[in-house]
Amino acid sequence: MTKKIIISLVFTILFANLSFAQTLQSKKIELPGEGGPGSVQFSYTMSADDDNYYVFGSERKGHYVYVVNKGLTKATRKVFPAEKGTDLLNAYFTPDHIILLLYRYNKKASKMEILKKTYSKSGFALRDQKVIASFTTIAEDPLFYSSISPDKTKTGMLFMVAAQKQKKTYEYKQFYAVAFDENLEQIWETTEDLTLSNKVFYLKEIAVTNNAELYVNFLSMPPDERKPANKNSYFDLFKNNQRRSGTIISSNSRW
Amino acid sequence: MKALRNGNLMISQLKYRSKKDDYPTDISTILIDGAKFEANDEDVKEIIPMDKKSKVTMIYFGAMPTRLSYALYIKSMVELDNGDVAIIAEQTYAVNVEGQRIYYKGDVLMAFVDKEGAIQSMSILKKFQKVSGNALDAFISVHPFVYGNQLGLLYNESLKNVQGKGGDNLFEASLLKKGNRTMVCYMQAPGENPTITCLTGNKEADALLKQIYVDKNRVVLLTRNTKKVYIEVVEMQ
Repeated sequence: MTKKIIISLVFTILFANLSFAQTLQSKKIELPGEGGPGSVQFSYTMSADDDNYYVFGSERKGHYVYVVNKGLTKATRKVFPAEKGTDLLNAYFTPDHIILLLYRYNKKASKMEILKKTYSKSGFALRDQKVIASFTTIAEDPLFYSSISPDKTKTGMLFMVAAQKQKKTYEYKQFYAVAFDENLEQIWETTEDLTLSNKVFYLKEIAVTNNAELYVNFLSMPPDERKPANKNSYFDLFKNNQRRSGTIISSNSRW
Repeated sequence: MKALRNGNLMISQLKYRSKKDDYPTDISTILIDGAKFEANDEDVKEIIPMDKKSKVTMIYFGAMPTRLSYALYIKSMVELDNGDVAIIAEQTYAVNVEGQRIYYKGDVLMAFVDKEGAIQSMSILKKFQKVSGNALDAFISVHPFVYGNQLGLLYNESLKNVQGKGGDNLFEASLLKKGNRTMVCYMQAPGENPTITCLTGNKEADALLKQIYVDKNRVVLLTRNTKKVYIEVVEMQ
């Protein structure tokens, strides 16, 4: 009887371990590509619907969308050749579309344009393309930050605006902020000065809320102070939403 | 900085000590009520002290084993489905061995903060007694992901043959072999003594984790080596 109990216990423990191991099993599939997609430079964006996983990647010559079925038995690749004069900012997946967000610089007008190109998810046909935001700057490559809201329905972007160039360095005294909805339609935009209280500002990070409010966290200090005292940061927060133009609220708190 | 689902904002920041005792030991969290963080048009540029409308909580991770080149980094903040926020930090420190400074890619630390900014728990999740920097070539990175009310952690560990002077005798033989591991770790009970279960995944040379995507009960990993890219799906139930 005791022997039976011991054998039963051993089997129970073994079975428990086996069933637990099964809960963390993994499967793998290689993504196809000419010359190996390992050369892809841009950070990847992933998405899924009921049937497939989608992976977006980008390199200098073009952009790629990989479609992998959920059984991990089939992987295909679609290439979007890069267009001269445009560069990628980000890629988004909606239930029906793949959206590429690109930028291009209009030298004559000294304007940076944000271009949205919408492709169908099935067939990858171009459905729409339009400029969804633009701002005046002399910098041909954007210095920008972006954030997606917790519920993934809003995107906030912030571009530093250059008005002067000293030697090889741009001077940024303004920023352009814009918020988009889940289809990357513009909700609001604003251009703000960074000259509050004669302080020098360094952009730290941004965050956008579900209500399309954009928070910008700056490290600020007096112009004669190259490094914050005692390495502690002075912070200023900027919050903007569609109801009112941007408001800079200076906390000047040392945390 | 993390925008929370309820419209509030949480900021984590390292708190540095004075120059006399010049190394960071604390992480502070600042919870900002999004609804209160407003100003009338007339108030533009008026100085409003932050701490009148925010809650400041100091999180102390404890004394460090050495003060030599010790550094603390906040790696990421993630909000769980129940509103708790996990703050993942990493500490790196150095020791002197026979006159040479050896850098350790130190420990992974975690703190859970509730919706009110109060500490729920804090713990050192994983101690990495491994080398990094200078002639030594190894790294470990931590990628947190949300899985319902629980926290998933993915450790990407790259270990190569240890070359260069010094340090070899400090490490376990098993850590010196060439190879890479991607480990999916699933934290079943976040708290002061979390239970972490790991799955050892991709063992191919030079494999790197590039992206994580949570799809219902599956964690989808995008890994790559120098020539190939893989999709790897881990069932979490």
